[in-house]
Amino acid sequence: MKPGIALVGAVEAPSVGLGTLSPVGLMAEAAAHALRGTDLVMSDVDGLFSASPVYHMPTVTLAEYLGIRPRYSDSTTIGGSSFVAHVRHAAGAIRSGLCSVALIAYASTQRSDGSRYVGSASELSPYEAPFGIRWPLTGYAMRARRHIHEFGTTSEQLATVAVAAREWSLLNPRAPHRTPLTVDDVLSSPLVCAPLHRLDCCLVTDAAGAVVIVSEDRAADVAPCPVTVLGAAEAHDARYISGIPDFTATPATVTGAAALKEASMTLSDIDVVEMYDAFTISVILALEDLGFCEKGMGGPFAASGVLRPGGGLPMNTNGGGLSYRHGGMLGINLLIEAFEQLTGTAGQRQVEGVSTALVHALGGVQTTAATLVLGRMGAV
Amino acid sequence: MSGWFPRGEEAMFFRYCVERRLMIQRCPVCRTHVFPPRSVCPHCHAGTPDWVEALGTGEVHTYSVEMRPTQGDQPYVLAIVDLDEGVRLLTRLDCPPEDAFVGQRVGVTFQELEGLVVPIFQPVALN
Repeated sequence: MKPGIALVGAVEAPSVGLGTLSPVGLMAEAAAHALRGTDLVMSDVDGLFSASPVYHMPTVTLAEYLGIRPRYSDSTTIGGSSFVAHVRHAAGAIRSGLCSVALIAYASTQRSDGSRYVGSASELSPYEAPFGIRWPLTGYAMRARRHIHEFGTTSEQLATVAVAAREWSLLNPRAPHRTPLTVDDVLSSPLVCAPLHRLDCCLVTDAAGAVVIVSEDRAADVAPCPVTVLGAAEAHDARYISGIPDFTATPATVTGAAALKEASMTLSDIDVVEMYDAFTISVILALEDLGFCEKGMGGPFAASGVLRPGGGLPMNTNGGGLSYRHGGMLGINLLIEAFEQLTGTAGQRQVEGVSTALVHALGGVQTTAATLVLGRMGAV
Repeated sequence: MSGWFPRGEEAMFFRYCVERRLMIQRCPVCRTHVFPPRSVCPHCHAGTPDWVEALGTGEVHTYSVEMRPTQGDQPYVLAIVDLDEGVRLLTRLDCPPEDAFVGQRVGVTFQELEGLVVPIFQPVALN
């Protein structure tokens, strides 16, 4: 059996959204804050992990800012799922002795930047860019259209995903909206890229967070409530929209099964799910691919109310990207919410008796995937 | 344009478009059609694909309607078209949004967009 790996801190930067810090400033603040809950100090960090639409060499930028000299650096970029994949990479690096204290960090000030913000538009495919695509929205609209065509999925069913996310976000005092959402609200919001409406899309906000990872042996000595990595997997297929092999399936079909197998668990063992909800259709596809329902049945499954607070499948318990926060790459926020749920620190939105969590992240046009099974140390 | 431009085999594809030829590739080893153009066959990894002219006909696999256009001020249809050779491309569909549907038979024509001559597709009558 592989030596155990554990998360000992996972937090958002306290100043996120205030407009007072640069992206690297926010990453550093989050890192300091994450370490504060442990017996570790910044100079203990010897492995650095990041991905960024802002910095070409994010780990190098962050290391200089923090005044540290890591002996292991990993800026693997597979889109929004990068940080969830980084957990697996950190586990491998720690197990093989390449580092001992791993720090994963992300920050974006895309909301504060406003019109000055430029993402990675230079990487558009020359075979797609001339036609006037909206990256990545066009790809998700095309996935939704094909799902509607093949399985009879409806816009009303898609909307129920956004409605459930808003209900969870009302339990989160940091979330921006204080009023519930109805299916009619989603359907009467403007079509931005048919068949998707504006409220089928995630928020565009600033975001920043950090996660600290060590070996399980060390975890119990440095943190009060470590979270163990029980299973992990990553996969990707297409980079661009036209490369998508199946518009109604994603690499979650591979990563979900692999992560659960490594954890020797099934979905029925999972207490809470934190899933990348870039668009309502993203959730429908991932629910199917991870095995929560049959392929094609994601629409009726979501519309049954199962995703709402008290509905039976506690998911995206902070409101997710649809109703809490989405800083362009959501993976780090999924880890933070799973950590809070597993350590019993999620306040009003705390799900009862959580000892396991499944974290599933996507990237690109749902063409990359990283899945983790996490457990509260000592409970599983 | 924001940062992207065609290079190498990408530029070659668009030079053929100027000649109004929709060129795809075929692997000389495994005989599979390939698109977008590549230096190595993604199916057998043994061959260097050759350029071949496509029939220019295919079927709409899925589509979007861009209601907040990045080009012009009218909504337009973007589609994934499966060519009859079995390769897939993203393109503009030259029809009103309400006329687009999955499974629609389409044929290629050429138009200048963003300073490049590109293949767009029009509905064709079934016979």
